[in-house]
Amino acid sequence: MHSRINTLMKERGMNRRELLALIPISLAGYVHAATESGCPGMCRENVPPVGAEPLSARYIGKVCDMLRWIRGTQSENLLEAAHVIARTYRNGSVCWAQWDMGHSTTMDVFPGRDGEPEIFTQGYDRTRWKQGDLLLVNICGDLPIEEADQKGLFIIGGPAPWGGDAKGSEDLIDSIGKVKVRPYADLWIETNITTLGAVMNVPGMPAPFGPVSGALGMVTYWMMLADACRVLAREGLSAPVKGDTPELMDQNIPWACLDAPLMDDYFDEVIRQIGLIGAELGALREMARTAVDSVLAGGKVFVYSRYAMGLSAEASYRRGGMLLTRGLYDEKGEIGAHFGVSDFTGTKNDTVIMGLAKPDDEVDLRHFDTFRKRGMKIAAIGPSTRNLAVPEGRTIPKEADLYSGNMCDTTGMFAVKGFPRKICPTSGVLLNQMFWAFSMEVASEIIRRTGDVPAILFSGALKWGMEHNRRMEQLYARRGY
Amino acid sequence: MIRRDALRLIPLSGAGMAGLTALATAQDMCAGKCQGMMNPPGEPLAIRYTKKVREMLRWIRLTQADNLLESSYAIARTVKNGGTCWCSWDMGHNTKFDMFPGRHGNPGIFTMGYNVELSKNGDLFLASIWGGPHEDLVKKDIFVIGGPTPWGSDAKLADLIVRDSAKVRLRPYSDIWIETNITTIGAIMEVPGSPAPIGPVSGIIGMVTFWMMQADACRILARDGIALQVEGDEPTLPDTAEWVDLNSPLMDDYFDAVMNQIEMIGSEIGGIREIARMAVDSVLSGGKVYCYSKYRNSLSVEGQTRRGGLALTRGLHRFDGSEKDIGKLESYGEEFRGSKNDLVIMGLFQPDDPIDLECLDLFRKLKMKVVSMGPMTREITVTGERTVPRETDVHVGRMCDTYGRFAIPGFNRKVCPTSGALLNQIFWATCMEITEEIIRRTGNVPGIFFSAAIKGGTEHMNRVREIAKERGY
Repeated sequence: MHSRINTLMKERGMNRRELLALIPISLAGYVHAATESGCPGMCRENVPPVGAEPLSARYIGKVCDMLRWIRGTQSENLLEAAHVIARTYRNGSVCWAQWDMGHSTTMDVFPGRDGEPEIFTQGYDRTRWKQGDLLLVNICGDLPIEEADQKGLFIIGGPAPWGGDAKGSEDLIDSIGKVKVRPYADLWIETNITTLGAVMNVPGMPAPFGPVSGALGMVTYWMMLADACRVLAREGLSAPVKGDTPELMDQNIPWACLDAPLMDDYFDEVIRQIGLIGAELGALREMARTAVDSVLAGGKVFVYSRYAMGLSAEASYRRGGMLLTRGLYDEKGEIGAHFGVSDFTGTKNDTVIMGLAKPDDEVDLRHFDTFRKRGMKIAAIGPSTRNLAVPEGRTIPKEADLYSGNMCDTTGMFAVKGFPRKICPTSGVLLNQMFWAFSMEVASEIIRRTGDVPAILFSGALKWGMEHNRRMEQLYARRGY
Repeated sequence: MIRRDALRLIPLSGAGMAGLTALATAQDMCAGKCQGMMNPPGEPLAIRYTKKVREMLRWIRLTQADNLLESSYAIARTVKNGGTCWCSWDMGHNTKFDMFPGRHGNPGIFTMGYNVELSKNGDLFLASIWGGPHEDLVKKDIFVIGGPTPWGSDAKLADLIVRDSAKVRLRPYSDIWIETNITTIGAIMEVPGSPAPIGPVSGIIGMVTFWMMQADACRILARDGIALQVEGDEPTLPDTAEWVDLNSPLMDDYFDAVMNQIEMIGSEIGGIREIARMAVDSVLSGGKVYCYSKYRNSLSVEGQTRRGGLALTRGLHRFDGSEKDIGKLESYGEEFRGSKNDLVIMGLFQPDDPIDLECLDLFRKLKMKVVSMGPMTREITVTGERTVPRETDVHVGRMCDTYGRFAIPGFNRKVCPTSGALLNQIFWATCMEITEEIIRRTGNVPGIFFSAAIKGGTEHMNRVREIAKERGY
């Protein structure tokens, strides 16, 4: 393959950066995974005009196509899941969730998450499991799935790259490949995800770039919850909704219709908003240039989120992600760091990307001040508004050097009768997609400036993953990207 | 080029009427999809038609699955609460093509029609074609599952409607809406030389969506411990039946089965062509082509003055519109005689219906040519001493079965048959072949009806009828 690429480059007098733009991108970055069964037809339509689109736009297009495939073929399973969730909640049983939302299962569900109805209990507690409970699970870890099944939990399952249900599971190390949810699932949400988990090929890098489990996980999660809430509301029931937005008053509110599904509305809105990332691509590119300036000047690119399992985790040692991004988060008022940051200091050579769930979070603002004080360049992504209005007073989008995220809002999408606040936010999905679009631009910028491809990680669950990743660490240690 | 070449070379668009239907294939309907439906020249019209139908069904499955499943929940809820589920859902040239007394696989959830006197709060109405009174739905808070139909103003190209009875809309009264992309033209295949397109689609779309909704309504009821008695004479299901999983939707399984079976029409295209040749032989020798079904509302009416249908076919039935046995065969006001020059196409829902066999004997006695379409098996097995498929000159329909598809725990028989949808598609594939055969032999295009509800439709209908009287097709 590589020799063919080299020959082609020689024949055309091309360098690597030009080649990058010319490679038609296939859905799965990995030969074994790009099977017909995945998403027939869709892939062919996705081949962009040669050299026309930036990597970030192509990545987003692919993610949207994967989401469209799910919406087209899994709607009945998602809606059935919503009804089962509503039934479980109505019966007073517990809905447990361990659902892949990227590099964690809680990227978009955390304390005080605006628009999150308190229906799911995140994680699991086998001592509290009882018959009639529900388990939404696609990534097991040490979760004893067989025991959950034996105890009579209703299991809604799906595939995840870190498990034996995804396509390409034969390439996983045995201890992970043998863990399967599907044999125990009462209801199955297929997503076509592979064990590679990322979808963009970059010539010169065997590991595909741009993970997708976060976007797929979050969109399906909120689609199910939207209709679960609607079903509950139609029956006169409700659930508390997290967040600090004022409670809904019964005036001039466009209440959601309780008779027809909401998940398609959520889906359509997310697709529209993801499309709007293109409208802010200039800002993302500027962020990418700033980040690459830092890297080439010996600085670092930090990615911050208030919660450790938020964007911070997504940017840290992520399958399909670059090794050059390093996660930071709030740790009891101080700045904590994920793997790869031994001692965070922050200097003027460093750039920090702040991932926001709301524009005026006080913890975020406090850490913003710290970053400023240390002379770091600060970029922010995430919502700048609450209920489509920019809050008065300090907000991070107002004060950051660069900002992108005008397409999404802090609050949820749907005003459902009986629920105190609007439910189902889109900002988590958008934050995820903006971050990966930014990462695509960083990679493109590095290739443009240096001719080298930045280090991209394989899944550690793949047989060859850890070896590749150690090699990438060496590469990173030597050149910083 | 001669006309027959031209016919094969014309790429087919989504709707037939050149000027008026430009919109139908454009932007909002099914943008990209239509391009995907372009077929290599040379493919028979019948195959192209069934492909297009499958594309339309696929679009519905891709975009309406959530609405269909939510409808199933509403239907099941209504049954559980003791309400009545009324139904006036377009299944072709009427609302009962696939719903008649003793229909195999019918779980008895729906009461056909809508009775203003009997309807009450908490009832449900599945409706796409209905004249009203709409205010009754609001007054009684009827839960309405609506969808568009060519004879109504919710369909695309509603500006073409001129008949008052088709100016009504259901969407404003609907709690859930099942979009199908259907137009007021109703048929989808262009034939050069005919302004009216051939090949209606409301029947197949209506039947597939109807059974998809019912499949999951039954599953939900069963999961909640409610069992229903299923019509038909299928033996009661044994404990060892292959019961469906009550936790996952069934509608996608029904959909996949229908799609596979429609595709299998291609494997019997030889039989369809033979029927077409026999039909054209009849027509050119001064004979007639009858479309028989036991009940008027089934194939008989589908073959009679149908928008997008041929003027040369005429319906024939034994039971009238109110499903009463009239004791003789009836053909819409014409006295039925039957002669050796005539062909009768028998539309079946089971292979061994005594009335069908009685009518077959009569056709044979009159020396008519007899062909049949529909299921030839029960439980995928040919049974019984006498069956219509065994005794007709040609039979098409090996892909479908008499019984329903799903064994639902608690239900005494399998539910949701596919034979109605397949009978519809085999019939229209045959009409496509008849059209091609007539063009091949005569150079002329047979008369095809427009909808009488649209501008110029009635005038066109009268003209086509006169042409058919004069030359037989």
